[in-house]
Amino acid sequence: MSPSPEEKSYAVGIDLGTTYSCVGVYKDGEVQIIANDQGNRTTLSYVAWTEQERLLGDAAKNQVASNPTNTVFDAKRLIGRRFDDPIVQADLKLWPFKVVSDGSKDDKPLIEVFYQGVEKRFHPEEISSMILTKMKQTGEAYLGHRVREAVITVPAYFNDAQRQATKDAGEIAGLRVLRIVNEPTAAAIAYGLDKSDKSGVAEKETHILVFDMGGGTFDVSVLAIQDSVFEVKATAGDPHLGGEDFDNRILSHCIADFRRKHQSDPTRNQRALRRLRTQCERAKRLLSTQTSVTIEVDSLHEGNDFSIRLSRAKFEELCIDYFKKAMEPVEQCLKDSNLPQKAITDIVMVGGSTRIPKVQELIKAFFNGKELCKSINPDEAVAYGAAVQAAIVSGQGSEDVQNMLLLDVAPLSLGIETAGGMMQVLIERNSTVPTSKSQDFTTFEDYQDHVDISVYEGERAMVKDNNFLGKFTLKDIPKSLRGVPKIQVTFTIDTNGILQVRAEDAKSQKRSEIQIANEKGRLTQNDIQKMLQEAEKYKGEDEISKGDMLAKEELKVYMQRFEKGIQDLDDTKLQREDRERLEGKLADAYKWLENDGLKAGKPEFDGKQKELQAVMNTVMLKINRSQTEFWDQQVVHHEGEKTIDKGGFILHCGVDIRDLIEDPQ
Amino acid sequence: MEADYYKVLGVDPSASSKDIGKAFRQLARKVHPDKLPPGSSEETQLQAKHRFQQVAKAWEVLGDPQQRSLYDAQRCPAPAQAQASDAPSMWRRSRAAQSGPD
Repeated sequence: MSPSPEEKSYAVGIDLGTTYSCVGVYKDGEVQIIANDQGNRTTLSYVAWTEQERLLGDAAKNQVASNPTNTVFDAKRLIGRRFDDPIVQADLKLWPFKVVSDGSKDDKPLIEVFYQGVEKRFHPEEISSMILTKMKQTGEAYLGHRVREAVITVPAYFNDAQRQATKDAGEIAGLRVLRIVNEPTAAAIAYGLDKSDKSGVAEKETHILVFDMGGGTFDVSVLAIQDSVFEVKATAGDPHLGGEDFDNRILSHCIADFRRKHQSDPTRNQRALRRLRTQCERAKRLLSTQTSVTIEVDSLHEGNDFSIRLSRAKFEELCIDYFKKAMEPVEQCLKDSNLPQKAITDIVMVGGSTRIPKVQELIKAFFNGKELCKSINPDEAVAYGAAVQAAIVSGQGSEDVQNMLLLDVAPLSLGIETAGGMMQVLIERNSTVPTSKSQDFTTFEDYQDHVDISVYEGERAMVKDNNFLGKFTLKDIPKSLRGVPKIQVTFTIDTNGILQVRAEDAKSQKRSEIQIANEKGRLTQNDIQKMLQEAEKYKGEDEISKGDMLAKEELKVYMQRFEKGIQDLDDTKLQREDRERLEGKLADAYKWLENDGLKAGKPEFDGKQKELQAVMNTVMLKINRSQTEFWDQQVVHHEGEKTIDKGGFILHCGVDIRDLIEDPQ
Repeated sequence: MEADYYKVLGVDPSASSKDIGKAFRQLARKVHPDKLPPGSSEETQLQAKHRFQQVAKAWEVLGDPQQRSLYDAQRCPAPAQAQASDAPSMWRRSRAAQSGPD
């Protein structure tokens, strides 16, 4: 045989969404969107901890009503934010899971869950990394190869900290993040490729506007596409506006109605809220295709049923301020791109929320009735584009793809604080990345040996109105009279839209002489390593194959039946000594499940179940002695208890002992 | 002194905006760091980044009619009939220096 070929590794594109995630890969000249183990092409961005295990994706949401406090979602709304961020504080009130501050000066939020009786706290990055792990596994299952590299998308309007944190999440998931790509840009690739395939006129210049409204974030980008170059002209948006906000409005409306009807308040009943929210989301979706819908939840709170009729008009009334707010970034983006409205050739709608008729109507009206492009799948376009970009960057695509180039921009201006708290912009928003700018600094006082530089991002004139990124202290400046030292500080935005700062003493040419202190709120490399190890531990648990999981589930179900069986037998039938024996066995089994059971596979679970069945059978046989004396004698009552070796019998507990007996061979 | 933007893009100063765009896209596809073969050295990547930034800067100015006309005026000071009132300060300075004391 020829020497084994190098293990093939693919780079995938992952759309890490607030509510749904999607993974795609460029393979054999085309993009494949990969379905998960449930057969769904998008996976819910949910993570849950049950008594026994961690659940990811769809499985996590399926059990949310029974386990609301340990089911985590919306990590994207927390990532890269501080705990005291007003947006976080507002979201907190609506989440059934608990979020606390880490108590450090960075005030990072931590998500608190109970797992196996222990309180565990996770950074939002870790939650996101778990979802990324799920997407990675989905890719691996389809490709039959390891997936080590990925392009991950973020909202174009994500700031520096949010991008950094997303990149960290990828690393914790064991992925090399080739690139952080803006979601609308990725969608534009999908649209551009689709269009050039169909019409074959890639040469002609087109200006497209991407309107990307998903579950939690909203972006608008204007791109010029020509000669296979996708150039982002401008981008704008709101990193906290999307479908979930609309759900919340419907939810509040329903709660108010319930209060009025029943004079009781369900807002503290997490289970009720969860059930009601699910129905509100469903109603919202239905209202995109029908004009009215009934929201119904039986026995919602304190035994009261809830039912309300919601019309599309009422839904629009509830959310109209959000819809109107979404038009502002459209206007802003057009203005920034220096293009007249009529220069826009295509309006591309991406993200689930663009299905809402009112949203479509408003944007259409904004463009004087221009038709919207809905030819691409709004749920998959971003992952599709990310997969293409992964192929471009890793050099795996066809010639067509290799010819493509993506030129993205920085979404926010970047500057420093100057006298009087004013913002001095160094890098303007919508600058094509990568880009860099340098500025010289000097001292204000004689023999001053350090300079503090505060870096901000945002568009306001005063730094206090912008987002503080970090304070850089230039230390060990050679002692001299004021104004003499010359320190060059360079701000660089890389192709991921992430800021790097470098400082250099121009006189000594020594960079090492200047230290840059503090990187705001970021996980340190140490933190990431620790989380990576933690994630590996979980991965071991996740990789229990489906067969193992099933066997475990069956064992648990059997143990519940076993327990009930003991309770159902009264003392006249069941002798005390037998009861103790059964209860002892059951307790042992529970203990085993908690400890060894975490590492066990199908054979061990099956073995344990047979062990329990055997002991139960012997007892049952004894109870039914009158009819079954013969069989009772065949059963040996010793510790091994796996000694039934022939014959069959239907027991009262409904188990055919023939099922328990191994093949005689 | 910064490099001449027309030279950076390899176009004639009289080129149409269409040709400038074409030249930029062609060049960008060639010099962008993304187009380096995977595993290129850090040095090569840094060079590519620097080169791309020059190209992007040139395009930022020449791709915008308004900025381009300002740049043109600054690049080769026009004869006296050019309107002095709204020209950039740089241009005014250079003109003053040229005329000298009389």
